Amino acid sequence: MPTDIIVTDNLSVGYGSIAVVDHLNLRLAPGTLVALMGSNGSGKSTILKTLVGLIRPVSGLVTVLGHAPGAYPAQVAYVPQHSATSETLPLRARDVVAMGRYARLGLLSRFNRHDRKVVDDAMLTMGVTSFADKPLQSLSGGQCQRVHLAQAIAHEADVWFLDEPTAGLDAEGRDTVTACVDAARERGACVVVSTHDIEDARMADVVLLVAKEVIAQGSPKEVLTDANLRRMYGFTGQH
Amino acid sequence: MLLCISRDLARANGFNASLYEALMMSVIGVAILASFQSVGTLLVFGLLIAPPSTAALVTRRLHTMMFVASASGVAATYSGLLISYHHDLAAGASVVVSATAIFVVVFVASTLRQRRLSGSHPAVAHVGGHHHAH
Repeated sequence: MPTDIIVTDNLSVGYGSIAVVDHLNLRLAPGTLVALMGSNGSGKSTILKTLVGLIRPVSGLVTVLGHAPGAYPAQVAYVPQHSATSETLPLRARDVVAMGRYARLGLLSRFNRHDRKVVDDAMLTMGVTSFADKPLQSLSGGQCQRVHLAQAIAHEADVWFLDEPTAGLDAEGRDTVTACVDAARERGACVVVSTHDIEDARMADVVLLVAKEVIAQGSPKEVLTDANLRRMYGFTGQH
Repeated sequence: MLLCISRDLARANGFNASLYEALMMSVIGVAILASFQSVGTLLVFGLLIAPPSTAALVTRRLHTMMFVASASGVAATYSGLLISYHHDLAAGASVVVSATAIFVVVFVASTLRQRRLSGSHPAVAHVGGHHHAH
């Protein structure tokens, strides 16, 4: 495993040739928790999608686990925003959590005892066991979010990308997410979280304030100042 | 299944979403083309929708649902053709009426079972875990 799990050098992220956020420079070691903070449309999800390998960088360099993003899907867990997921198919919560093993299993392998145990443990951790056999479409937004986070836990990944993981969760759910992220960091996983919540950002090792550009980057104490926050929200407010 | 949740999630897990979407569309296209021959152009949608809807009433396990949907489709086709042969009716329409009749029977049975369970265990029925056949 490389020293730094995620490295970006003058990275510009965006769609096609249009940059959304420029000049992103990161070196993230194992066990680091990074909070991307910004208002809606500030570019947080675009940064996450670029690091996951879903969209190509506009320019600059980026490596995840020493390779191009997307090279090792089994080692990377991604939880998209809840609003970007669909519950049309009558899948049970358990089926959705089990999908966290798909990247490791591929198309042809079947679930073994270890896989089933990992899925059961992930459901227990996120407190979704009691509704494991209910269809996803019958669950509340917060319960669905727990299911998707349980899927990320079942992934057993070295890098986690969580897009607004605490959105829609109650206080207990937020505490559970925090505990899971801490457990992942303790075993060396690097966790990148996008959030609107300043309290979530305070718990991170590194905070990036984003508003179509990187406004500030560093420890929560350095970054989460009134001046930076005003600049962040003020920028978006002009549009 | 990942594709049904989120296209991005499927891609993030290393699967070629475009390829699998194309495969899915091709399979549906082939199923529709094959059904054109047996039930006709309009009734094909009845045969595509009724058996999976029936299966969704009796189970929440996806693999079981696929099996029940197939079995229901086969049963509807067989019984529809028998009815058509013995009563000199249009084969396609008979098949789709059979598929719909199976759905209606299962729906009524499922609803009655749900009501009976909600009568004896109102709290359990309220959370919706009552008509799942385990």
